[in-house]
Amino acid sequence: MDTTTRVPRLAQKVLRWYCNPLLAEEIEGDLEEYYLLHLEKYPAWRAKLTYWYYMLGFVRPYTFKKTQISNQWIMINNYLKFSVRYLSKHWPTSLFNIGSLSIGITCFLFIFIYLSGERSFDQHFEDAHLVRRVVKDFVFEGDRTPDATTPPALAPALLSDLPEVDLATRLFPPWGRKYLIGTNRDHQYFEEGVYRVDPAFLEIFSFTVVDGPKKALLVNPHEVVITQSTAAKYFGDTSPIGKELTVFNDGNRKLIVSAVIEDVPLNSHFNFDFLIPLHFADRNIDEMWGWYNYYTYVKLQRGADHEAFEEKLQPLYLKYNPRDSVDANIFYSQALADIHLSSNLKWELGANGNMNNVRIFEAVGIFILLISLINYLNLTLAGLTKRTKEVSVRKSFGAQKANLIWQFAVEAIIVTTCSLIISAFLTEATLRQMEVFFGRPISLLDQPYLDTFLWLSIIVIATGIAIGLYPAFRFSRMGDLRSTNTRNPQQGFDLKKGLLIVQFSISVIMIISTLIVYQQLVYFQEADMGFDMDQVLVVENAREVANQEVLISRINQLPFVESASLSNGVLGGINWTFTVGYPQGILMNYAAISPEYVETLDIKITTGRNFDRSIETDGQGMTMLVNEVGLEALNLSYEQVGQSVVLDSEEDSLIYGKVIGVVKDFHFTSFKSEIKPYAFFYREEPMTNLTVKLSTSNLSDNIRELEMIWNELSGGSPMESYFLDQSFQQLHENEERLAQVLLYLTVLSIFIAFTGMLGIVNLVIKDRLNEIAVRKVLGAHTGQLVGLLSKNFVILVFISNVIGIPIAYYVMDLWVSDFSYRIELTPLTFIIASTSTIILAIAITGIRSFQASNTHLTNYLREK
Amino acid sequence: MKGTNLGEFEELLLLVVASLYPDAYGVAIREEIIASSGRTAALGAIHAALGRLEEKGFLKSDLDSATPTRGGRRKRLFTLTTAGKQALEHNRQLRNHLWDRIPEISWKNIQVSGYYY
Repeated sequence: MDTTTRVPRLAQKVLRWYCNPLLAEEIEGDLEEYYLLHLEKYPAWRAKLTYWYYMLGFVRPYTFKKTQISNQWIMINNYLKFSVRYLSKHWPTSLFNIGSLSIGITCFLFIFIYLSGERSFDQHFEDAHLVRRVVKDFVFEGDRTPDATTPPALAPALLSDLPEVDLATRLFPPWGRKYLIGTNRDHQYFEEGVYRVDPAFLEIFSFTVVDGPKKALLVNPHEVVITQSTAAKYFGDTSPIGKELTVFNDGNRKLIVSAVIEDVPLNSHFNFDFLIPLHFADRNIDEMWGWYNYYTYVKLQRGADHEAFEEKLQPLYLKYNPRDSVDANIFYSQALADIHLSSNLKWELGANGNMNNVRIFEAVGIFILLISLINYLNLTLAGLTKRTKEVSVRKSFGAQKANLIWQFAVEAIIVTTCSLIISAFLTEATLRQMEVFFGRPISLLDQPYLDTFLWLSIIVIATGIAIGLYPAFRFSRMGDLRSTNTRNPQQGFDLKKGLLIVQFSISVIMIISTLIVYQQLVYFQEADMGFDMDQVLVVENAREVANQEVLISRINQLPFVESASLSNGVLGGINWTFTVGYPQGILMNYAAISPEYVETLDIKITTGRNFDRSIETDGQGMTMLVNEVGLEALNLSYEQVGQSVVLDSEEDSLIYGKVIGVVKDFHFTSFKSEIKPYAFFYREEPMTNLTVKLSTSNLSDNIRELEMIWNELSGGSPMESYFLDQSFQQLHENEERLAQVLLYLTVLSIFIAFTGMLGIVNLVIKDRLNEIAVRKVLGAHTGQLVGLLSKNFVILVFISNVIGIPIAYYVMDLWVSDFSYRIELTPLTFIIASTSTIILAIAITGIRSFQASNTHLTNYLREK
Repeated sequence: MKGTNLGEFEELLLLVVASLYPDAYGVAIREEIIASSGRTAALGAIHAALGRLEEKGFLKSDLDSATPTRGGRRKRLFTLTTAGKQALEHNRQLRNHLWDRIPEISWKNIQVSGYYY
């Protein structure tokens, strides 16, 4: 027979390897017969393939060699059988072990996935490591304010002067402005996500172009690039390329859609729907060094040294701005990937994450995993007494050290594997539930989470085996007789105590941290802002109404309106700054308002008076209301309020102005920053914001009535409004999320730690039941017995408090120091945490030992 | 008792073995099943089922003398046992009995659905 007609050798070998020789002959025969049959009909390769296929069809239990089962296999079966028996006999402990491990692993996985989302910000762009954002420290009178904005002239200068800069783009965000964009007047929306950028933006940041040309975008001043979901919103299913969008509140400017790009991912510090080219017909921004309202991004040449680039930034700035050399702003750059977590400058594009919170989450994730592993270890150790008999019998029947080790290892593998499987399902279910939280569907099966899970599985199983092996080694060293006679080798107890202390210390730390985070949050929510923002509605696009006086008077006629006023700028949002003061200028935040604004927001005037419409000079020049901090910064005394004072100088002439009143300090931004100087000016001019204080709580009806008036006067633009207290709450979103997650995790960790203690208490009580019974018979009171049994545990919890409190104090002191307005860490918090843990410990041990000492111990003794 | 009840595939196998007598072995049985019922079954599955039927006592088998077509390997030839015959007959009786009890009227109703032939 030549080689082409011979049956595949390898397949034959495989068959002979696994197949029972009794069956092999007929099977081989059948296979060969078919093979020859197929050779006649089909090419040889196909016949061979079929041979393989048929051969594999015989891989069924009945064909296997019966003698193949080795002793090792039998022993593994035996270990499995005994493990399952042991675990189901002690099912409360097993169930608890598996449960707490599952919770621990799930928390860890969940936190890991959340954090890897936080860490993944902006890293999905191609060559993200080459992209940097240039920022500066704003220097004023020796004060440095880190600030993300840069002048528009910076990017062209970087491109022309520094060879390592490959591409550079400016970005001009809407700065709180909303664009009214539509295909026609019936199909229009207010849009916040409008960025004006240079053409290089789409080259630096690799957004995928879904529709339209991929090159040379954003060159034509009238073009616009929109995101996929925006395209669907305005144009439905039809291709928007070449279609027109009108910006109704910007002189009916027409924009032609040139391309559609993918939606901006949520893990990017950008958040836009429209990209418009930076183009101003009336001015050349390329040489403007004085404006600080652009962001500058650069992409370095491959292989360029970013530290060398860093060093050239400041000289470059000074080259173009030689006059500034004394008090020059300090320019530097940040890696794109660092912006979300590490950068917390003034005027970020959006709220960034916080490295501190990431660290806290990391610690908490590891803590919970640790607590659940410790539980497992502790319960295994505590259960050892039970197993001395079993082990002695095994040894008497000739079990070797290796057999004991295997027995315990298999048990550990079963417990950890079960927990891993359960936690995989739990995590997956939680992730499904939390889709909104993440903003995208996430599965444990996605990379890199799957890898992480596999690594974690290896670690947990290995730890489990290590935990299981510890008693195995202890027992294997122990003589046979000793283990049958003496009851409990007491050496393990110290380790157990130590582990309990670790667990409870962690719990104490977490309780205290959660309490403090919550106190800080409550402090934010309840603190006196210095003004009243309840039921205050802010309309952002008041400029749409030509006659604002009519608007105000119409609104004031509504019965539910307490007060309505106008302003340029909003507290908690945008305000302006300028330099004022003599002889030394200070940076003053300001907003232009109508006189009623003070009343609408219930801002308290402590000295002087409010603006008055009948006094003509109030609406002109440097006549202002300032806050207390502002007055102090201007170096003015309360006596000078209302008097004409020098506020500025220009060339040789002094500029006079007047502070007509002082208002109580108020928080015009997040509590993380201090109160800064703030001034109000009174102007009779069109303003951006309408602020309305409502008196009833039927808010949605009220807004509807306001809108009716609005629609009559606005000429087509819808009213854009929000409640002031909501916008302030958003400033503390990060802290609120932290507090919520911490609360859940703390409850979990306390639950795990204390149920772990309960498990150990149970085992200890069972161990000491003889002693308890004898004491009881000899006349001990229940109370004495309870005290005897719970004393040890209460002492442990007490020690844990002694360890945990200083650590918690240190960590949380660091955390609160981030906030300019923060709570004091009071002893009360720590007392609450420690007494609650001690009371819980007393309750758990007390109830259990009370039950134990109240059972019919005499019966128990008699049975013995 | 479970052992005396025939599965549908088992019944098919027994019938095929009976009809192929005296030459019923793996390949022939498989080919006959494919030819007569139009369904395919893996060779391994057929061997497994034959083994099971032999265990139950419905079939017995013997190795014949070697033939050159199979590389000199012997075939295992299957034949029906009395128990196998009884099991087949039992099945057939049960069916006949049930067929006879079907009232004429029930076919009429089925006709509407178009599956009656």
